[in-house]
Amino acid sequence: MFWLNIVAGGVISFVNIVYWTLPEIESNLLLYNVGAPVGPMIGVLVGLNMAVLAGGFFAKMAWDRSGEDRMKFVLLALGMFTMTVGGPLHDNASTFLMYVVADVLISVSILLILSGLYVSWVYSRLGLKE
Amino acid sequence: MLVSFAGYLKLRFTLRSSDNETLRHFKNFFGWFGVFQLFMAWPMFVPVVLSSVKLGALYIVSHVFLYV
Repeated sequence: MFWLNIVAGGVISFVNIVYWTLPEIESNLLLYNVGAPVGPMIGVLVGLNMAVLAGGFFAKMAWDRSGEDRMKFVLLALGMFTMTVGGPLHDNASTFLMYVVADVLISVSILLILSGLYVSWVYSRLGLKE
Repeated sequence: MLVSFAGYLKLRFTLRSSDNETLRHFKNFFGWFGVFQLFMAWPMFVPVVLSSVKLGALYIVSHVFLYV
């Protein structure tokens, strides 16, 4: 997987240089204006890594467990899936609204991941500790 | 970015007491992901407005860390 990412990343970087587009700043918002083929390519690679492998790994861990541990891995898997959608959306965004949607998705995913990491603390606070 | 580095540090300390290959991969993931986000957020940290060429180059270089 490491070398697949390095090779695919090298190809994407090469395409990014070939389809070089200049970013611009519009009313304090930095628009990267990513080249047309680059955004979807990054989306596919990130989807494979974070949604399929990392998200799938956490989903499998949740499937095999129960109670507090299951909730922890469900939240981590959901966070990974949401980040996979929100992250590459930044590369494909061309309007202010698309950036807002992408940022909201990333914020939600960070909250989900943090909730997953600290689910034990929340459970003990709510008196749900087994 | 801060969450990524916090995850990296947390796993780094965890790995001191017990070695685990999966956790080691996640530690590396959080570390490189944090570096990627640091580079992407760099224009917000510097007090000058970077040129379009520098911003475009920063985008390409930062994504290399994402692929790693």
